[in-house]
Amino acid sequence: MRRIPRRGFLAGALAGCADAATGAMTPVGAGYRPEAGSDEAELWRALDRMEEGTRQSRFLLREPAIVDYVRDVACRLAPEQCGDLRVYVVRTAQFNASMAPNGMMQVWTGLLLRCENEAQLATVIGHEIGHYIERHSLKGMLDRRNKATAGMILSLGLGAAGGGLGSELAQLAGYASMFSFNRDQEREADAVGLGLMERAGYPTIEAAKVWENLIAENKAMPQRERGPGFFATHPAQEERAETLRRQAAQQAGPADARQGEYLARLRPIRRLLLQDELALRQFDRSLIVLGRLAEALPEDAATQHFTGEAYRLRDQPGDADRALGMLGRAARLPDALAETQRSLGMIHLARRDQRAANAAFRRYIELAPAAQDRLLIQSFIREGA
Amino acid sequence: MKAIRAAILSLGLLAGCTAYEAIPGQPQAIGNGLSVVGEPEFNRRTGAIGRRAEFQQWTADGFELNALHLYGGIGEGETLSPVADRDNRRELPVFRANSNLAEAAEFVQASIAKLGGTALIEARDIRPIAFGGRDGFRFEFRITLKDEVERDGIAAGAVASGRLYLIFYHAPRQHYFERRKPAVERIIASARL
Repeated sequence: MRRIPRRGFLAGALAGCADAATGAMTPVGAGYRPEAGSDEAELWRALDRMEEGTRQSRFLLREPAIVDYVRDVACRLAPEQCGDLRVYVVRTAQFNASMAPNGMMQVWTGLLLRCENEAQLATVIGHEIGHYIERHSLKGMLDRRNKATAGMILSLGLGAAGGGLGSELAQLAGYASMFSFNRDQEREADAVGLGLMERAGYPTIEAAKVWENLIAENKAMPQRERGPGFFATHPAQEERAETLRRQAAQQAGPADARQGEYLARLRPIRRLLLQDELALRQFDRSLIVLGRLAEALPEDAATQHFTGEAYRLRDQPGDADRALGMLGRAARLPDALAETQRSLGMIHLARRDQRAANAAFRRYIELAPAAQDRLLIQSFIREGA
Repeated sequence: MKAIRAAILSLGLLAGCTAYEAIPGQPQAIGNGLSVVGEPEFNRRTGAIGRRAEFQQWTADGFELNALHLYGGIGEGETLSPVADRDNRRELPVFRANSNLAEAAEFVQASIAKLGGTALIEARDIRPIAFGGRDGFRFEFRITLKDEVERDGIAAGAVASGRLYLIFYHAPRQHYFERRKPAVERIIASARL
């Protein structure tokens, strides 16, 4: 099975060597277009074709309210660049975002789930805008290390049929995972991002929290499930969190992380995000994410339900009891999910409590008469129990 | 790109080189007492796959266009992928011998999603059936892999003596799924356990 490369936003610690960026280049201003016939124009042309593939991808989340919201956050951060960027929300349950030099910005749903507030989303978007403004991709393309990648992108632009290889690549890796930025470029992007956050009135301390949360998540994972070497061995992300925390301490003036706004805006897709997260089958890590969410939204039925599900599916000693507790709570909340009853029924059945199982399964079918597994679940209801 | 293609071919369940043999229209032993009647339009991939002899892969037009996976029992602690079991990669769901049919169906769907590396999977019409003369389950699914091709599939199986006996089929939604579906339905209906 193939692991999606964890680069893009997470690239910093990966790029081991700290070589200087190639040459001096003017940062990108509003309405920037590369000079015709230049290497950069060539790169843009190739990226435009990749973007076409992204636009047609079945993995795109097309809910306008969500896409507009992410774009609004980007525009609030960088009003100068607002007219030049196009936001794509990609349904992939990993933490990542990227911004290509032609203005194509990808935000993965795993990132949306993990941000606790708008300021944390702004952290990642601001960082990516930082790479964009400083033209790190172009510098990377001119850099020896990335020559092969550049060649691949260019050949795509020249040869690939729309929607074919282009879309496969665009979705598979995300544009950002094709170039690796070096550590200086990551620092530079962090600094630009922090500046944008401060100007937009976000508390910059949230930037450090993004990293601290990722570190906590990763520590919860069994060794074998951690990324190839990235979090497992590298202290770089802890340094990065520390640096960001120090820089944030200098912020003056009022700031609002906009947590309420963020959680309310994501509400329509929260269930989808959680469902996709659980499908990764990395329950230890998911439970950290769910725990943070439950703290912010103690009365959210979906959060409680999927926490129960994480325990039920992880199925380690004591998990059935934990699942039963969480699911029982979830079932009593307003907006309880029908599936909560199904999960409760499964646990009762495993414990040979047929009566309780019958009641839960009956309630499930009552709440979700059109459920795809109605017939199978009905077969578990045994009369005379 | 080659590795990606190989993964797409058969949800990463293929490993090593591939040779095929014709399948006669007679009962074919899959393993541990499961047999199905062969369909001559399908070919069998030869050679042991991973550590499990009781796992077969059949195709009519090539694995990219239709793939049928037959399991003569997935035991306690095993995954859907003999390759993953061999390499001891256990991010995949692990089968529990005491699973009921809904849990078994859940295991299959979650495993296919994980093998396909995609969030885009939907199961529908999950129902009880008789499979090989036992209480079994059946469902259909639609999955989109990284190649952006929509594939439809059918999974059917039963849990007996702590093992999950399973047949699942998938093919691109356009043309190929329907084309071999009748033969697949006959194979499922012919299961003996």
